[in-house]
Amino acid sequence: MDSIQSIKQLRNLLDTRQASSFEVTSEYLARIRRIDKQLNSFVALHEDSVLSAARAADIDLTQGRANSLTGIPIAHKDVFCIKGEKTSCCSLMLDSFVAPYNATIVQNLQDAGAICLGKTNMDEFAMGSSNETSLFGPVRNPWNLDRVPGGSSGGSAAAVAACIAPACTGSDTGGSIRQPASFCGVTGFKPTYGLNSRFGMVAFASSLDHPGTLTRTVEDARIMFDAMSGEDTNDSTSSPSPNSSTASVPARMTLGYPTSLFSDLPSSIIGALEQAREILEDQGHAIVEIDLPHFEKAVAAYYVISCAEASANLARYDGIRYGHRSEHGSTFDSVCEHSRNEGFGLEVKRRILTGTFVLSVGHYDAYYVKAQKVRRLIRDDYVRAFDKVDLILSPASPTTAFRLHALDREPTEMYKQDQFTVPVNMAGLPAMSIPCGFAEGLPIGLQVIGPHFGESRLFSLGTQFQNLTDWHLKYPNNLS
Amino acid sequence: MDDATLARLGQLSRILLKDVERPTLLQDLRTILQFVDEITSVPTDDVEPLAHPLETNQVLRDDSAIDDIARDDYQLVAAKTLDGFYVVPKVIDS
Repeated sequence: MDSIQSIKQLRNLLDTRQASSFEVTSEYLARIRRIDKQLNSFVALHEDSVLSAARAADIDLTQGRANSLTGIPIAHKDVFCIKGEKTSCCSLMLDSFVAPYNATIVQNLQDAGAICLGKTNMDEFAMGSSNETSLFGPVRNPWNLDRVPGGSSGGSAAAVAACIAPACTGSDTGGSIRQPASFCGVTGFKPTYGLNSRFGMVAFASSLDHPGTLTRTVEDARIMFDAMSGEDTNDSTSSPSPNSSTASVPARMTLGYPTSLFSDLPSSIIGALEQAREILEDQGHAIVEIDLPHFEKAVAAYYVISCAEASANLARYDGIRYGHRSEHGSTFDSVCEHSRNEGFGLEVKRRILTGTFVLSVGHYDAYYVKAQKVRRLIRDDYVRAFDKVDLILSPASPTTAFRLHALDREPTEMYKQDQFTVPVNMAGLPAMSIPCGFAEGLPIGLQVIGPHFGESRLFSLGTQFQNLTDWHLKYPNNLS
Repeated sequence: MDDATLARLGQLSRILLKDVERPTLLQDLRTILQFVDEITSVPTDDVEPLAHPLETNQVLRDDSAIDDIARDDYQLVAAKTLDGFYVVPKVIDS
């Protein structure tokens, strides 16, 4: 089996009996065992269960009962509950938590035939842009082991980039799929808010959390989305799916290009972006300048809202019903306070305390309500832009992958890593990062943003771009 | 942001903040609040707050009894239970 296999290629191998699911899955497990010592992208391997599932999938394939993902091994970010398996969110707080049910997207993918290799590493509670805050240690970027893979879905992105998993799930609250996809040179996609259910995904900031995928190609992102999305009565913010991946798309689209936002970018990223723009222009797409006047305030507003929501969501970890319970303290309150001190890492504490501050008496209107007003202005900027364009182009990240620990004592510099992705989540728009070049051996990601329920436009343009370029076919050859 | 405010936030958040952590957290929170203060310069008169990106209404399920609460399964992950109840430390400190 070749090193690089997309879901589509694996589907063909399995359907034509050139390989069995057992053989394919065994090969991926062998690669993980061989390569992941250098990356630390997996935090749990489900070897026995995935091989049993592969054998069952082979029977289904033989008997003609295949679904879109039958026998395809994938991995789930450790933020998603899998019944009977540990779901730790890479936090000491949940280190002993075994999920009593499946997340909806896990169930949907399982129903489509996908089988699970294991759980991937992530920043603790999905709070981070470098995958350095995990209980299980940092993930390393497959393209350069001294660099971060991005975060928080860094394990998923690194695993797909290193060809040790053909596809992984991820979650994106402020850029946690698209930024690591950009850093690792893979395709990262998240749909319109509400199309992928949040049920069974450990909550960080509920109005911003988007489940999605890390894959090798846009075609694979579409296959995964078709399988995992759908209305879910267990998620009160779930949207009825308007079959958004197959809606008709104009052959020639108008693409928004907010040049004024790119003035501080390194020349390597500008160059890759310009090259991508020219490729798309050559295909007949029109490029139109657009203005997003509140873009620069988005990261600040995001950190108010996301920390506020995090402080409320993480209040559930009291050490009583589940999660870490401290041995210290003699009363309910003191046990709770010790449990939360011991169970949460520094970044999580910072965000809970920030969220508590902005929600507290005397600060609520000045911070939380104000940030919600700025959020409306940001969303309205996009709504106005999409009155005249079909999609918007930008980089996914202002830099390529930075060195491990480079931003350890710079929390706000770390937050600014998400400046191109955060505003998109504030508006709940679908978006993807696709590989569009390299700088000094490190991948660069092109972000494509769509209007609400504009997934089909993203898939169409992304597939066209990948048919014309080979950035997505490159893989790191420094891993033994 | 000062020591007293940090202590109050720790209390509200139910997080015991140890002396060794306080200087770092204090410095970080000052930096973060200075950073998020950027939003104060945005004119927002007559702008309604936005809580949900799609502004959809809360979906309510039918008001009917369901019987899918697997208490035993859910309590497997609790630190301490007894006869179907969660065992907690004493609530009132003498």
